[in-house]
Amino acid sequence: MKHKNFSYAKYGYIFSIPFILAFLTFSLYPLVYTVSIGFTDRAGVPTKDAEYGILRDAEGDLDPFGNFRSIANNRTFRTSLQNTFKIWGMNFIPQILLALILAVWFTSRRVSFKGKGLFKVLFYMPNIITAATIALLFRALLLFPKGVVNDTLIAWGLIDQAINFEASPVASQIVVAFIQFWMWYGYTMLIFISGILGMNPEMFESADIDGANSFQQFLYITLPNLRTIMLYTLVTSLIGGLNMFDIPHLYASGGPDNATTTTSIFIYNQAFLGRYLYNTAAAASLIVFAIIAVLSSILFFLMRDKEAAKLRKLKRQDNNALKKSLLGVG
Amino acid sequence: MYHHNVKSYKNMKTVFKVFVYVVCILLTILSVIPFFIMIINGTRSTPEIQQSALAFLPSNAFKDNFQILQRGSFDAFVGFKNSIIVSTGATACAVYFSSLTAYALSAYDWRLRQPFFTFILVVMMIPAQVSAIGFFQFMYRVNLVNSLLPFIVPAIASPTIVFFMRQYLLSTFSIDIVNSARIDGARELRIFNRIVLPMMKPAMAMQAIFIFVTTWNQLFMPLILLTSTSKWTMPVMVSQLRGNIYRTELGSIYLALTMSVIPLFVVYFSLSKYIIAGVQLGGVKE
Repeated sequence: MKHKNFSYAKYGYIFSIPFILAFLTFSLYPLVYTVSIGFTDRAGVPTKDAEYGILRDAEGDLDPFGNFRSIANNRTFRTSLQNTFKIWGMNFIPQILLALILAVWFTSRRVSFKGKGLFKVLFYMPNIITAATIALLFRALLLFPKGVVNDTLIAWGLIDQAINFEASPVASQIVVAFIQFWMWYGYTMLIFISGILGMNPEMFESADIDGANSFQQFLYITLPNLRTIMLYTLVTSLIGGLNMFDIPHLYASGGPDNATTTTSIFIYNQAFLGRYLYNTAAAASLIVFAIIAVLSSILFFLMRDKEAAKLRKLKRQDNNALKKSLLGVG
Repeated sequence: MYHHNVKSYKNMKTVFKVFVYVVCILLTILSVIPFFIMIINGTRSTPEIQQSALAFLPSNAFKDNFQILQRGSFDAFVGFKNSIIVSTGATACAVYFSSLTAYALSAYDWRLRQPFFTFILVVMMIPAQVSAIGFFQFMYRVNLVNSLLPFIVPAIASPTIVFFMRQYLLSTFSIDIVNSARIDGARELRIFNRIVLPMMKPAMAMQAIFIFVTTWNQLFMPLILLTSTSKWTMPVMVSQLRGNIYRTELGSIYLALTMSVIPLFVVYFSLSKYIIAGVQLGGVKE
């Protein structure tokens, strides 16, 4: 029996080969390449025969960390990091709150809502529509001086004069955050709904018997049990935020006054516009990568399969006990 | 007293229900109205739109808007064609090879199985964008700038899809079926293609929708790698609408935006049941 299993094991390796090859070629190699570019003088319009080497300083001495230094001192890069977190925060906090409220309503065991399915479909819809299209759609809707939003706000008497959304740094940040919120709250709601539906119903039933009201059940059962899923949402959303590109790039092309320049837009502008500074763009990518790596590893350790870990530990103890008893006999 | 309590509880329930419906209807309007205005304004002329941006009835400028659109670089049909090629290719690669990898991870007992799975969990989180500079330089060196292949072939390694396929196999797959096929003398890859793959169909369909849509919507890498207009995917076409030629042609912009999302609307509303179920499935991961 053992022998039979052994002979089939090689297929585990064989069937993983396409994945591993594709991963090495298209994910790992570009990553390593990006790292190496970060230490070189690779800049300017790309040409096939150009020679690149390790970055040198003004005196001609090797200076491999020069790109990282210049990025760390780059004000636009710092601004872009601040903008990224600011825009992300403005979108994530209302998003998670609304998603949580909707998820609780839609999973309520006391009140049932007709049309829940339709609402879910409509709230999630913006998430699957091309972000590029959505960015330009909002740009058209928010046009100054005559656009749908300005016209409506004036007609309702909410404002006297049209707002120039595009020219204001704060308004641009708010609009980008709003679009992100609008695109993602439905997704987060669905994740929370499945989280709540996945909870053991007995917990709620016994709370009913104990006379806990809906709010108490939310506070003491739903919320604590949703912690892992909320953490997962937080980290994946933050990683997504650090890669935020389509909306701010097409809605406001990073402006005005760099107010919507996110880290991704900064990297894009460094590498593919103007002076083609691939080396400093690579250095900036690595800094973003480091932030993402830290965030993911936090998530990974918090979410690792606790049950499996427990089981492995038990097995080890079993083995030890077995060894001990064998030694004892011996 | 008791009677009174029941009644007030019922009243509160009704008030609560009305409140929830009001919120949901407002959110529905918020979701739908931008797209509604987009579609309507695509049929209105630019002067009409400038006079009053908000209208609830279509007009007759569809043809004019379309003709103006042809003068610039926005070509919905080329964009559509390229996006279909990229999305179909990437989806096929991702679904087939992820299933194969997931099968390797759940059907065979090999020494590096657990480390390999842990590795997949680790790299799942790394977004492709952080290595964009290296990817671009690599593609430039091997002459794959302005080719659609760089968006298709890398999908062979899709860690997230492997993760979901493995979960699916673990919950539905039984090695006995494979063992009985082995007795019949079927080779391993043949067993996978003929027996395992058909069993994975529901999970494959669900993942396929998501990869297709995600690939369709991609902007960052195509914007970097595709410089020739004949290779532009739909989002790259859309990004050109910011350019000067269309600056003042509002009607055409709305029409172009509409054309860019019609395929997505068709896919979404015909498969929404599965899509919603798919997203919710992703949530119960842990």
